[in-house]
Amino acid sequence: MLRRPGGIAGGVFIVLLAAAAWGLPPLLGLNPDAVDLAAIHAAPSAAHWLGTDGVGRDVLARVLQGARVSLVIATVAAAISAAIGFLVGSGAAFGTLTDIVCMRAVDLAMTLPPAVLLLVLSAIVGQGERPTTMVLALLSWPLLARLVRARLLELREREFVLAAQATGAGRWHILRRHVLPNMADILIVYVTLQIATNVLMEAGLSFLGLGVPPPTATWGNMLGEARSIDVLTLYTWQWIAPGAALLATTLAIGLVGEAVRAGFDTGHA
Amino acid sequence: MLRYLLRRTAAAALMLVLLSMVTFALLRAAPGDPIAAYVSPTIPMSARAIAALRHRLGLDLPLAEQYLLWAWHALNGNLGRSIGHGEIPVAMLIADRIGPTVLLMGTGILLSTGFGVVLGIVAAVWRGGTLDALLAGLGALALASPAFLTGLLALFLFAARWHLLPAGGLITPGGGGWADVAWHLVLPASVLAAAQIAMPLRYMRAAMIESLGTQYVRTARAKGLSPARVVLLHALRNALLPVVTLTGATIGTAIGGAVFVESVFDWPGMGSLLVSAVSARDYPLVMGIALVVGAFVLAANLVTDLVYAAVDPRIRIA
Repeated sequence: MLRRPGGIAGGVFIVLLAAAAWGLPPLLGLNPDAVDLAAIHAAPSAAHWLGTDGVGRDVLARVLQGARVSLVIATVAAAISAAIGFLVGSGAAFGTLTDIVCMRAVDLAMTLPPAVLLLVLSAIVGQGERPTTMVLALLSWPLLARLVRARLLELREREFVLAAQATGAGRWHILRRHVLPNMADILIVYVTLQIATNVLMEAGLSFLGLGVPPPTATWGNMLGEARSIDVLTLYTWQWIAPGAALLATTLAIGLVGEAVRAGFDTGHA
Repeated sequence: MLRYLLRRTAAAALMLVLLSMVTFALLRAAPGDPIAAYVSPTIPMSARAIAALRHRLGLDLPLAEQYLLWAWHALNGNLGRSIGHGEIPVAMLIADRIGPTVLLMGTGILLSTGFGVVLGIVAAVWRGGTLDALLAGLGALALASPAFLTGLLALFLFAARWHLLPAGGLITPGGGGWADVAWHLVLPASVLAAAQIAMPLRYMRAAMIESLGTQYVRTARAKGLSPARVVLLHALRNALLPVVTLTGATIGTAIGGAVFVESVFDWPGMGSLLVSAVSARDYPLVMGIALVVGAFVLAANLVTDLVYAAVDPRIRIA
């Protein structure tokens, strides 16, 4: 499935990033909140590999904390939205009335551009790690609901499903044994690509000061600091490091997602 | 055609009503009392004064009544008063900001579609080559890079380092005029265009490759027409339609990109207004902006559908 070099490279990067995010801080004694008053706005050095920020906190420690926060929020949100999308999509496929209600809701959620819906949801749900996870989960399920509905309508007419029905299999049995395995490709590709989108969206919210509040470091928070002209021009390491981490991570997850999608496509042909 | 037009318009209007209902319900169900913005935490206020304030703001009516009242006012161009911005009418705040946003988005979409089409043709004509691979890589990079990151980088390089372009704002303080605005528009519009370019580029490349493989292109080549003439006159004409209609669909993502671009470049548009409204929990303002943006997107989709149906008769029969 992962016989594409890009997919392998992306996967290796994600594994290394996760290993560094959780493994390096205890190994190197990095603390994202530790203040080093002797090194304020210090450039990268042996003591602080990626320099320090305006209150003397280690940038590497904060980039790694950002990685942990980003990856957890993005993954949990993708899993929740996959569950919502799957339930809504299968609900829609089972009845005419639920179909109308569900698909109108999907249309509605897709009327607003994602970034605007993101902000509207953020106004309602609020700021913080959990609220941000909720906002991202609520934002992205409609597309999956559509895909699931279309696949279910298609599967309902397939011979092996009809045969199972004819032999007296219950709805739950059919759903679990025949439908879910044939839905795995949609779900896996969706969750993978959604994690990349969620990382971007979380960074965007935090950049605007509407995501995870300080003092917790996220890549978006750190990039938001660079809206100050001093940080942008004089202390470049404070925003280049989280920016590069953000870009590399979304590219890597995107590559993995594309490879997985391609793998499933050849499997079907 | 008339029936198709009426059906699509009615569907769009229904979506707009649903949208307004849901935004209204969601925002009223949100935690946090809109009245908090009026009450100073340091000065004590009597329960009677708070009740009077609720009454004056219409917050003591039943929800359905509040919605109907609000919808009636909205139809008359009155979107209520902002809670955060000193009770200025929401419609006035939005009207002040809509011009800069439309200018930014319009320029951004024009640039991304223009460059996307040209680069897409280049990638399709030399497909499989180094240039094609390079453009595919650039497209993937543009798709992965969020507008705020590209914006910071552009700000750093072109404004702070090389002093080529202004760092932000709509005009130079004390300045003004079209030339000044255009000068300030270059950087934000380019960043917005960069964030948008992947879609038109990919669509154009795919459509061109399909078009270049058709019989009529082969015929044109066999007639001995020059390669440039075949590509630009025969193949491009038929490949362009899906890409042009894609422009309608990009309006939604362009508004999203504008939120971040405006924030990076201090561009006084609706995006930055929405961000400040969300941080201030200014419900009437958030709702007003969501409604205006939703109406705008619905209208754009409607126009796209109708133009497509007018140009391609197969659509309206289906």
